[in-house]
Amino acid sequence: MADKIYKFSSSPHVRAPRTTRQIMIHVCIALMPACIMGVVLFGLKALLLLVLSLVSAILSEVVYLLIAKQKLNDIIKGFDFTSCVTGLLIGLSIGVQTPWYVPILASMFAIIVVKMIFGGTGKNLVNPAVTGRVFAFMSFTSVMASGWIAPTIGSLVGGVTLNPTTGATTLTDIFTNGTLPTLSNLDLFLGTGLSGCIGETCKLALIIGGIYLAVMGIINIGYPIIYIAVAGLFTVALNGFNFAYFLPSILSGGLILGAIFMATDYTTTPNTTLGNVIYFVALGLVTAGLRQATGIEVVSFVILLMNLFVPLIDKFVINKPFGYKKVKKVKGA
Amino acid sequence: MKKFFKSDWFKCTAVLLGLLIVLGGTLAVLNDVLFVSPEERTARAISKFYDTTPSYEVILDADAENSKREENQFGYIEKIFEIGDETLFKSTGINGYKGGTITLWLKVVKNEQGYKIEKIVLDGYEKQTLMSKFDAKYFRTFTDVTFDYENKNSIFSPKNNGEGLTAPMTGATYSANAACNAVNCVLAYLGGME
Amino acid sequence: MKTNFKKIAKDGILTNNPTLKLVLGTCPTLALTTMAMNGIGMGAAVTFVLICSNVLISLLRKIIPNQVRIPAFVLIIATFVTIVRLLLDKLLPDIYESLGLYLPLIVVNCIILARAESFASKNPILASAADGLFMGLGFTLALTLMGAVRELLGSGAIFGVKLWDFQIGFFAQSAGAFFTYGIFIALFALISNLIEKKKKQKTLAVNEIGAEV
Repeated sequence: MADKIYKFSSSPHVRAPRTTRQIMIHVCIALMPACIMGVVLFGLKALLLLVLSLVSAILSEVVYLLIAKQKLNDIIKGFDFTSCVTGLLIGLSIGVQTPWYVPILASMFAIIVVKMIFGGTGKNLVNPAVTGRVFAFMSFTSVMASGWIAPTIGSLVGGVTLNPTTGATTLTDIFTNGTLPTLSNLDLFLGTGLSGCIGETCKLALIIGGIYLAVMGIINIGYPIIYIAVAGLFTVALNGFNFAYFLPSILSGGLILGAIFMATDYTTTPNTTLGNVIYFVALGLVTAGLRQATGIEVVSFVILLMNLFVPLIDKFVINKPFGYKKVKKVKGA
Repeated sequence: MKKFFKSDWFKCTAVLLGLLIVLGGTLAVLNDVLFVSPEERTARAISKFYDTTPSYEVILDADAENSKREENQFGYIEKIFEIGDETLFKSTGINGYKGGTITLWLKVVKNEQGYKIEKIVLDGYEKQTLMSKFDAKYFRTFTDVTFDYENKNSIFSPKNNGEGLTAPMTGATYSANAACNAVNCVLAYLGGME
Repeated sequence: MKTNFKKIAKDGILTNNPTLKLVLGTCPTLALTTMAMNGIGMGAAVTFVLICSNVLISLLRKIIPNQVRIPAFVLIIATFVTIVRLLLDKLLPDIYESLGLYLPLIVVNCIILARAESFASKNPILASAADGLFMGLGFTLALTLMGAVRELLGSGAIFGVKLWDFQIGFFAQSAGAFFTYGIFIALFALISNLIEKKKKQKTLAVNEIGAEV
């Protein structure tokens, strides 16, 4: 009988019935509350930006695969919704005042350069949505980082013309001027009257999405909680242990959006529990520290930076091999 | 004896020394031939403001004998040239990154209302590392302001803390401090500040 | 041994392009490609130093002992870089200012030391001079092309002439420098491979015809 040569495929070797596609559809559903609240608060332009970024993400992936000589039928059959998630996240993390070409270019960069060139789903080195946002921020600072528009609940009802009250976001208030914000914590929580990126203002919607993901077993809710809590506590520590800073600091800026949806991306988190704890604690510390030092919204930069440390964490935090028993040292033998 | 001259380390040192002497001598000669004098540098700076070199009156020249530069709290002025209504200043601002300095040439124009900085050209700097951020657009923020003869004590402030006129530059705050100081040095001199 | 100048020329510009194939001298490549004009200025300076140092090192190649060749090479290269600095400061002060800090850094530009070590110390004078010239030309071409792309995308201008207002700031910054460099190396490898393949097919076809006859 001829020797059969077995090919060793890469992990995972134990398969669960759930596919990537299902997981990503759940994530898209979890992002829906934030999208809806974003459109309600900021008007129809927000919807336009979200749709543009979603469509460009999907198209970039399809066109790339077509150029790489795959058949269109195969592409549609094998379509996992990862690019949808990336597109939505990029759309949610830009402000409503950005021009139309920004989400298109950011999505194209995120999908083509960060994901497809490196090998597609699961092979990206860093989170594509985060890198897309960083790209947009670096390239179009003049149109993105100024002219924040504070929304009102009636924006959608009252038509597309928004009340253009430009003002610094609450974050700048806390970190450059050192004053506690004038908006109440409830306002920050619900996002009414708070200016910021489309997805990050209504924290309630984001938390609903996060709970949905945790209930569906897609993310471990402990990790974002660790991230947010550590960031808040470290900010408190840096501001003279004044606990009044805790809630505003975690409710401002893109921290909750980043913690729940971007930092928990499967590909760019460590493999072990201890590694994950280290990763998220480090994320919290660096976010709070950099926010204090620079006074701008650093969540996406910090996630990008820490993504690069994940292989290092994986190298040093080694899982116990299956069935390993620690050998007790025998004294004096 | 011959062995000494043929040995390796002698040949090495001889070659290196020979190279040093020949090349060093060439460089010394060329340094003299291609020397750029301070007068030539001044002429170059002036040519950036005017197309043809005008006749100018030297009010202050720190490089000349027996004259020192004009100092105040923001830095020092090394050269002042007057061409009709316009004055050229070579001013250096202190308190930059790592205690370094930035040197600018400014052209100040006087009219009935007051005086105005018309153009600024970067001349040099010491110990600053982010100078690529300071392009012509940045220096134009200083040139759009007219100072009344009454408003003599207003100065530029590099950070956004609301004092005086602001010329912000994020990411290079120490160097912006030095650049603002170079401009403020001239403003202080013109306004009679200490 | 007759020197094949055509081969040296092709080496310098195409097959062994110092920036895009040998990936040498990346420091000025990344820093100075913000504007296309910088590429030409830096390229000219590097070419001058390359030719002069190659010629001198080739002249002295039988005299310099092997153990001290690196210090000797660096001495010679540093002298020529200083000469370029003095010349530029006197004759072309605008280019001198725009090159700024990167002019003295030519001394440690790996291209010059690499060509001195691998070519000039082993080949006659004329060949070394030609190698210096064409390597410098390859460097200049690569830098100017990269500079043009980055300037076009990052500042909406080319050679200082502003074309439009749309700027993607990413390409004017350091991250864009690395990105553009990577894309250029990939494209260059792609085009070289395609040309090689076409050449192989042509020679195969010729051989087949020859074999049939």
